[in-house]
Amino acid sequence: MKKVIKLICIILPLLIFVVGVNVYVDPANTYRTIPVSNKIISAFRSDQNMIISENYSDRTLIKKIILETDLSAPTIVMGSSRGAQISSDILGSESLNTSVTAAALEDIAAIWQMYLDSGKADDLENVVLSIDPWIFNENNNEARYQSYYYSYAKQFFRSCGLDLNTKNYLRYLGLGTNCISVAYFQASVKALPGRIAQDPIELFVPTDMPQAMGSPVLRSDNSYVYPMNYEYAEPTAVYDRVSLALRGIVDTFEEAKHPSERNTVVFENLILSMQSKGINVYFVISPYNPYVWDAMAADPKRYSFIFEVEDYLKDFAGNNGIPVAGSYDPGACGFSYGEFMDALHINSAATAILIDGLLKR
Amino acid sequence: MSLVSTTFAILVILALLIRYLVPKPYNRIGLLLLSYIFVYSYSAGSLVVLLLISCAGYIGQYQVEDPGKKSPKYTICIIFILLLLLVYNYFGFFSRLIPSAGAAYSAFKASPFGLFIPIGISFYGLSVIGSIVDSKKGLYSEKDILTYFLFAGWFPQILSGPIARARDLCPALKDLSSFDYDNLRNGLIRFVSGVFIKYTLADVLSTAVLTQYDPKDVLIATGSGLLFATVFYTVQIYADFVAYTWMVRGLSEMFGIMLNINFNAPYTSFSVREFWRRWHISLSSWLREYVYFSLGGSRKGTLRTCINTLVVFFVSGLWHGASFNYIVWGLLHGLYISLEILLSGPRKKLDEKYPKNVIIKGFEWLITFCLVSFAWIFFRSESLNNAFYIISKLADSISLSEIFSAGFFTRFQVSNIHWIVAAAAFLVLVVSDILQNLREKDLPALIISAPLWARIVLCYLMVGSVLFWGAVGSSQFIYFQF
Repeated sequence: MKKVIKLICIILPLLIFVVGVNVYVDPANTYRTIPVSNKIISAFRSDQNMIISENYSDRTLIKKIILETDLSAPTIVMGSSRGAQISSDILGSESLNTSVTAAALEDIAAIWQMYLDSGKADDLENVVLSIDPWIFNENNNEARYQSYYYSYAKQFFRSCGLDLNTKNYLRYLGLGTNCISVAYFQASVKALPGRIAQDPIELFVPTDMPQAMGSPVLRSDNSYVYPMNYEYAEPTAVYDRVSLALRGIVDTFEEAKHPSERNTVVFENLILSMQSKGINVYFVISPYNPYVWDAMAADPKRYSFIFEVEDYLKDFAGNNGIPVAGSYDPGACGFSYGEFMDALHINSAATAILIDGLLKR
Repeated sequence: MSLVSTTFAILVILALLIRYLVPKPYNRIGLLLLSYIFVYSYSAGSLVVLLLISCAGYIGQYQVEDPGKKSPKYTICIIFILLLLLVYNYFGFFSRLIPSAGAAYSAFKASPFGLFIPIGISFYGLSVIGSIVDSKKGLYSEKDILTYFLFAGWFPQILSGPIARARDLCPALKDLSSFDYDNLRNGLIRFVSGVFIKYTLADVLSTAVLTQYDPKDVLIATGSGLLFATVFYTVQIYADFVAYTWMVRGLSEMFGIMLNINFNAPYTSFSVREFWRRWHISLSSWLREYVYFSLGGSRKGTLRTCINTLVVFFVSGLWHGASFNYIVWGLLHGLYISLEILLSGPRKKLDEKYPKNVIIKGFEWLITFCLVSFAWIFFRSESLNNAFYIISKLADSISLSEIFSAGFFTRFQVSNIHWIVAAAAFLVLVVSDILQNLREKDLPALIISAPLWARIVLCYLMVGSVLFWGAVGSSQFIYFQF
C-alpha cells in the first residue's frame, strides 16, 4: 500500500499542474464567466453600432443578452460566423443575431434552451437557422460550445426523451473533464500570456459608421460587419485565404461519411420543439467558395458527407414546411469567386441576395 | 473513445479498482461488463457482433470429445465467424467488383446490421478462430465461459490487437487475485512510453506525410517531397503501431496480464523474411501457424513454398483492408520473400565467404529498408492510381538541389519545435531498437530497470514533451481502421 501511495505522490504534482493551468487559463471559458461590459448592452438599447475587438467573447455576450437582459426581438438568427452577417435590414424584420463563431449543433441547442429557460421563446415569431454541414459530424473537433455545457446537456437530454444511455453518459463524463485534457492544456499554454495580461481586452467603441476600415462592427441587432479591408480584399488575397483555410475546412467533416444519427435526432427534435411553439423556422444554407466547392465536387465519393447533409436538410425542410434559402454549391446560388471574402464567407451584398424575401416565403 | 482521453482514463481506473478490490470471481464479471461498455461506446452493433463471435468461438473450441475426432462444429463455427468478417470487411469491396452484388450490398447497408462497422472485428475474429483451431489440434480448450468471453473482448487489446492466443491469455485472465505493485508501476511506464512515441513522433510525421500523400496535394508534390514523405511514413507507421502496442501491453500489465511482444526492432532486419519475424509478430505468427502450415509450409519443394508464401501475403494484404492497395502491398512482400527463397543459396555462400562483413551487411540492411519503404507507398496511398503516380514522380523528379534548398522542409507544415521533439523521439526509438537487439530490452524495459530517480525524471520528461509539444488529437492509430 505504501508503494501505491508513493506512486500517487509522484503522479499527483503533474496532475495538479495540468489541472491548475487548465482551470486558470480556461481558453474555452468552461469554468468561468467572462464579464461582458454593460457598455455593449447600453449601446444595443440605444440602437448604436459598436467597433469591437476581434477577440471578444461572443458566446458570453449571447448568454448575457438572453438570460440577463430584457433585450429581445420577434426574429432570431442562429448559426456560425457564416450566418453572423444576417441583419434586421437584410431580413426586413426586427431581429437579434445569436450566431457564434464555429457554431456546433451543441451551441444551437444550448441557445434554444436558454430561450426556453428565459421564457423568451414564447415571444418569438421566426427562427432563421444558418446551417453548416459540420454540425452533423459528431467528431468535428469543436469544443468552444463547452461554455454552454449545462444548457446544451439540458436540451440534449430533453430531445432524447431523457434517454440516459451509457454511450451518452460516458460522453458527458468526458465533456465535463476539460481540466485534465492534454489538448486543453496545450490550448491553455498558448493562451497563457494573454490570460496573465488579462486578455481578451474588450474594446467596444460606439460608432455611427455602418462599417470600419480595419475592425469589425457589431450592429445593434448583434449582426456582424466585416472590416472593409477584409470584405473588399484583392482576389489574390482572397485566394491566399482560401488556400490557407482549405485543409481546416474539409477537416471538419472529411472523416464523416454520413450525417450523424445522434446529431440528426437532436437537430430534428430542436426544430420540432420550435415549431410546436408556433415559431416559423427558416433554413439558410450558405455556400462555400467555388475553390473549395470544386475541390469537393471533384471527389464526390470522398466528400459525400456534404452532399448528403444538403439532401437531408432539403428533404427534412420539405417534409416540415420549412422554407430554404441557398445551397453549399455556390453555382446553385448564382455566386462566383467575386461574392466571397474567403473560403467560407460571402460578402454582405451576396448575403442580402441569398436571404432576399426569405421571411415572406 | 481514444486510448488517451479522460473517458478512457476513468474507464481504466474503474477497471483497476474492480480488478484489485472486488473479490473473485466478481472482479472478472466487472471487467467483462466494462469491456462491453467500452465496445458499446463505439456502437451497440459492435457489441452484438462481439457477442455473436464470442458465442461461436466458445461453442467451437469447447472440448467435449477427443481432439482428433472429426466434428462439424469446428468448421461450422469458423465459417460463421469468417462470414461475419466477410460481410463487414469485404462485402462492399466485392459488390464493387461484382455488379450483381451491388443491390444486395445496398440492402445490407440499409438494414440495421449495415449501419455500423464492428470495432476490432479483424483482431478478435482471428483470436477466436485461432482458439477453435488450437482446440481442434488438442492444444488448448477453455471451459470457463466467463474467461473465454473476457479473452475475446478484453478491452485494452480489442481495438487493434495484439492478436491474442487463448492458450496464453485465458490462464492469465483466470488468475486475477493477487495484487502486485510492480505490475502496476511497470505497466504505467510502458503506457507512458507509448504515449510519448505516439504523440511526439508518429502524429507529427502523420502531418508531414499528409501534406504530400493527400490526393489534394499529391498532384503538386515533387519527387523529392514524396521521397521524404515515404521515408517519414515508414517511420510513422512503425512508431504508431509500436506506441500502440506499448500502451496496450502496459495497460494489460497494470491488470497483471502479460501480453506477448508484437515488434522486435523490425527496421534492423537484414532481409524481408527477418523483417516479418519482427513486424506485427502476433499477426505474422497467426498467419504462419494457421494459414502457411495448413497449406503445407515449406515441406513441398521450393516452388510450392513460394506459392504458399504468396498466398499467405495475399491473405495478409486482404486482412489489412478490402482494397487493391493492400493486396498489392501484401503480394509485393510475398514476392520479395519468394525471391529471397530462390536466392537463398547464393546468399548463403556470400555470407559464408564474407562473414560479418560490414559493407555487405550494410548493403543488405539498406536494400531491405528500401524494399519495405517502397511497399509502404501502396499501403499509404489513397488508390492504386495514386501509388503509381507517386512512384512515377519518385522515378523522374528527385532533385538534390531542391532537397538542399532553403525552406524545403516548410512544405511538410511541421513547426521547428515539433521537428526537434520528433527527432529526439526518433533517436529514442532507434536506441530502443538497438538495445532490443543487443539486450532484448526495449525502451520501457530499460526505464523499468533504471533507478527510481531516473524513472521519475524520464517519465516526467516524456509526459512533459507530450503535454507541451505532442501533436495531440491530430489522428487515430493507423491500425484502428483494420
